[in-house]
Amino acid sequence: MQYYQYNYMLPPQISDAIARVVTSFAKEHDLKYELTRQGLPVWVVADSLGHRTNSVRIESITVPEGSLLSFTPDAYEDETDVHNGLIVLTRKLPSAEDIIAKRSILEVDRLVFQDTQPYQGEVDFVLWRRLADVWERAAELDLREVHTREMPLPLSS
Amino acid sequence: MAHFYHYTSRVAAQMAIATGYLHPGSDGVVYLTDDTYATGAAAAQYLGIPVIGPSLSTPVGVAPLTKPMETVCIIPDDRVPGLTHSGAVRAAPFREYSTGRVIYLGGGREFRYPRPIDIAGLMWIALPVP
Repeated sequence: MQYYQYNYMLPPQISDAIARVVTSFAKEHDLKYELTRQGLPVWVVADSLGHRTNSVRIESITVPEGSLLSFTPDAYEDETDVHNGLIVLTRKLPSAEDIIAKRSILEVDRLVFQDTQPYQGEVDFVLWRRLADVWERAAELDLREVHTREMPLPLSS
Repeated sequence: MAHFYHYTSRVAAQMAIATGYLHPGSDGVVYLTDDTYATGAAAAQYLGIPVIGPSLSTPVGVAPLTKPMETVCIIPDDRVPGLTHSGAVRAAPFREYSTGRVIYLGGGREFRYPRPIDIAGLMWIALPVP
């Protein structure tokens, strides 16, 4: 396992640019989006079509070599059934190896280096292109892993 | 009366009780479910809750909070106006960054409530330690 930490200290120019790009990309493609996920420096775009959900996570990570933005495609497909008073969820997922292979890494230093210039449009363009590329990869993920879980029916049902 | 549930850590619960509210996080929402889980491990597994969460600024730098699921707040639906049980989505899986492996499968019923929730006088239940 590689040593890493989530990077909560991303320069505000970069985190603002990510939020701007995620929001505009999601609105243009009619996707759901999250500007940070459960308090983590993780931004998500996602879309559900039928039983399948595709997503891209942009994670702000620090590794020994420096800070990076990781664009990770992901997907899952759900089928649910009710059996003996329990919900039986079958969730299909891509393999971890496939996720890693299709991940795209962007070094933050490359963006920060140009901080003294009026570069906002250029950074947005770089992030947008990267997000668009990985979004296409999410749709191509083969869902080979199958997990089944039994869950209680919600009390509201 | 129907209920929603907010699973969280003891330290997050203590902070919420001190203010009297569950406040939306940096993502602008409070996470709720209407599933009942007997253990924190089950809640984390089915709700796909990341193992670490928001950071606190400390004298020695930024310290991320870990997110063990240790307690649950029971929230009557009249404390979350506008939220209906039909608004659930299936929680996404949580993957570990480095290996890409699924840590928690997700699949539980997740609600995202966009406003602070008044928790004055509400019951908290401690979840068993694994």
